[in-house]
Amino acid sequence: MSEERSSSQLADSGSGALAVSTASAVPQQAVAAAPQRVFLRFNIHQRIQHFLLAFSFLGLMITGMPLRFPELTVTRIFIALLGGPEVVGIIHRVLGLVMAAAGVYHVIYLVAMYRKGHRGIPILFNREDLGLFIDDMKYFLGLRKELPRFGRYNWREKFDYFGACFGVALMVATGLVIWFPQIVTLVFPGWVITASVLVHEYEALLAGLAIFLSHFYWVHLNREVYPMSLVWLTGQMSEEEMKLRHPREYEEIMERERQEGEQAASMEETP
Amino acid sequence: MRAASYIRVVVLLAISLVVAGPTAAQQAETDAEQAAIGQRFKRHMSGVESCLICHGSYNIVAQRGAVRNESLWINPDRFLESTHARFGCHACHTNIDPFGHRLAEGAAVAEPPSQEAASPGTEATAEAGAGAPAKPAGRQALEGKVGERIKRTDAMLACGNCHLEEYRLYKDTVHGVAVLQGGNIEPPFCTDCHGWHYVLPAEDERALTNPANIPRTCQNCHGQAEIKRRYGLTKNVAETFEHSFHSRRGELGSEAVAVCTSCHGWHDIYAADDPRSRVNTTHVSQTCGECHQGAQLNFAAAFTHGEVSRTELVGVYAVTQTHKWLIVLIIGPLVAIVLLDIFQAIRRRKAVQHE
Ligand code: HEC
Ligand code: HEC
Ligand code: HEC
Ligand code: HEC
Ligand code: HEC
Ligand code: HEC
Ligand code: HEC
Repeated sequence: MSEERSSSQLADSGSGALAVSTASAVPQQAVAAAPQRVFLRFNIHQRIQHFLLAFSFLGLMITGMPLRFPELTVTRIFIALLGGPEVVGIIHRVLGLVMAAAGVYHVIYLVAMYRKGHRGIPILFNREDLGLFIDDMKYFLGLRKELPRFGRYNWREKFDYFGACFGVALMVATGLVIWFPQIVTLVFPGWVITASVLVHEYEALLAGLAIFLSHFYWVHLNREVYPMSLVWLTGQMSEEEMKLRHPREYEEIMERERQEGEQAASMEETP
Repeated sequence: MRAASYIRVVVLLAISLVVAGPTAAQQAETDAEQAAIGQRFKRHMSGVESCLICHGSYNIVAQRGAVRNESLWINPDRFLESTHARFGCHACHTNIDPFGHRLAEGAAVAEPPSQEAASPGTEATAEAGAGAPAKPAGRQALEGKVGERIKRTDAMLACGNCHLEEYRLYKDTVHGVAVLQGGNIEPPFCTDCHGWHYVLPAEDERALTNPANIPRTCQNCHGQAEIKRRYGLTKNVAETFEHSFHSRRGELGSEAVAVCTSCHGWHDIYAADDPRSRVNTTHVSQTCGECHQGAQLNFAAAFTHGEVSRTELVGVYAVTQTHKWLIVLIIGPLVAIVLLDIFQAIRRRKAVQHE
């Protein structure tokens, strides 16, 4: 499957080895002494995008919440520490731009990948997801002993991804409307501003709840990763974890490597 | 070399501190002394002493029929800080002989209340006589008035006596017309928006007219269901303002945001459908434009006192209602799954322990 390559090829593009498709395994594997093989799950672009998003999200939450809850003491202290609501407003806008930049980066990245010939996009929902979802529910309800055999992304990760895309697009759009209301009202009626302010608020609430209640649970508090899964920083995943969480992807990589190994072998033989 | 020059600077600084320290302290002391003398002088020269000797020292409680007792105590410190202190009591209470009025029957004298409990100076309880004059009555407005609650109309005339310009403006406003022509007592008189003994310039943060306090000053009446009902004011102006961007931003301490008076004016408040009103469609884009450059009529519609509901602001209602359901439908399952996972974790651990 091409998507595994898609994520890793760009990472290695620095070394100019664009055609190298075994890159899904990080060079560490070459060190024979290391007993654990490590897989590259997120390449440097994906990690930067995630970092920009996480950084701007947290900052926007911190600088945006005071406006929604101005009466709290915490808010007052915080605003005073930062130097007044005007300063907080500016920081909020800059962070908003950072978030927008993360979005633009992602779109450019997608386009670049597409133009390099990567067509299969593993994050898209597909037919198997329904079955996997049902299996997963069974597992959660205790009706099934082992985890379903997920591919590169499980349904929850796909859902998070599209949620984030939708959220970022909506927050950036409504944020710009609130930022430049005079320009917007040259075309749109005034209630669009009122609605944007409210939608901005609700979507922030939605994103906050989703991130703090769900995402943080799965990447921090969950017993398997506590206190934190390091994938977002290192981009690497151990073989064991791969087998457990993304068994189908693991098998696909193995299968591909085997084929490539054969190919290489046959290539060597031909001359 | 470097070190030597540093040391020299430090030594010089230390010497100058030692020399300047005591003088600065002395300076502050003399300043304080002079301020105290000035205060006493002011108190004496304005003639307030002769009144504060009783009204500033004792809590005279006047019996006002069966309804309520009223404190006649005046906080001397707050009065002397106020704008009108230098004119003395007589500027408003003309022709009152300090020893000419005595304890009436039922009045009581007690220790003055604590500073914090000082009367805010905005109680709107007095009755206004119907058909009040449209022009200030001159210096006689409060003349010799003791032994009865001073009417707010009289008070207003006393103010108008010196503030003719403001009075003329106010007379034609929605409030002024309701008071002076309609003979109503609910709409604000001068003293409802300014207080009386403790009048301060709007820049002072304790002033009732300070932008930070304006919403409260107006909401005293416009938040009251009774007044809204009586005058057919249908909109929840208090709530809609409180939930607005301006109000929240203002509560955070921003001074640039709009409060009631930034949009409505103060001595020129008219009903929104009156073309003289600042929020009338003929002016409203200029009003918003004072702070939002290039505001068009479309932009002005970005704020109304309309409620987001099925009948008002329908577009906003549709959008936000959809969004609310989206939140419930997304967050509900996400949290349910997290809870299931936790539940499973506990169950599995128990199972392991059993083994
Ligand atoms: C000897 C003490 C005393 C002095 C001095 C005094 N007052 Fe009074 N004042 C009173 C008492 C007692 C009452 C309550 C009278 C009553 O309830 O009938 C009163 C009532 C008043 C009232 C009526 C308030 C009301 O709502 O009924 C006014 C106005 C007033 N004083 C103003 C003044 C002014 C102005 C001065 C200075 C020129 C002054 N007083 C000096 C004792 C004093
Ligand atoms: C700027 C004008 C002004 C000045 C100056 C002024 N008063 Fe008054 N005073 C009023 C008004 C107006 C009222 C009636 C307020 C009401 O009840 O609506 C009043 C009410 C009173 C009352 C009744 C109690 C109360 O607070 O309502 C007393 C007593 C009184 N004044 C005493 C004094 C004394 C003593 C001084 C000088 C230290 C003084 N006033 C200075 C305007 C003034
Ligand atoms: C004796 C005349 C006189 C009377 C009566 C009077 N004022 Fe004034 N008032 C003045 C003067 C003079 C100033 C200007 C003070 C200044 O500019 O420092 C002033 C200033 C003010 C200010 C502006 C505050 C400031 O410091 O800029 C307000 C508000 C005010 N008065 C309200 C009232 C009210 C309300 C009443 C009636 C209760 C009243 N005045 C009665 C003379 C009077
Ligand atoms: C003492 C009570 C009181 C205070 C304080 C007060 N108002 Fe009013 N206001 C009224 C009453 C009563 C009416 C109704 C008058 C009428 O319709 O005849 C009114 C009417 C109005 C109207 C016109 C409503 C309409 O469409 O008919 C506006 C606008 C208004 N007030 C704004 C303000 C603002 C702004 C403030 C604060 C600076 C304020 N008011 C303070 C009592 C008050
Ligand atoms: C609806 C509330 C309201 C009423 C009623 C009202 N004022 Fe004012 N007034 C204000 C506000 C608010 C300001 C301060 C405006 C600012 O500078 O921010 C003010 C300011 C003033 C000033 C300072 C000069 C200025 O215009 O900035 C004077 C003097 C004054 N008022 C006198 C009066 C007098 C006299 C009356 C009665 C005839 C009166 N006011 C009635 C709200 C009111
Ligand atoms: C951002 C500007 C703005 C601010 C701030 C503002 N208003 Fe208004 N107000 C308007 C506009 C515009 C209208 C007319 C359209 C409408 O009714 O919504 C209006 C209408 C009103 C009316 C008439 C409503 C009716 O029932 O007919 C009242 C009363 C009123 N405002 C009071 C207040 C009070 C009190 C405050 C402060 C708590 C305030 N306003 C703050 C802009 C503002
Ligand atoms: C006294 C100045 C002032 C007036 C008058 C004023 N505003 Fe504002 N308004 C502000 C400030 C300051 C902000 C906060 C801007 C920010 O944080 O970027 C703001 C924010 C807003 C916002 C939300 C943020 C945004 O920029 O989209 C809206 C909507 C708005 N105002 C509408 C209005 C309307 C409509 C009027 C006229 C009826 C009006 N304002 C009159 C000062 C004012």
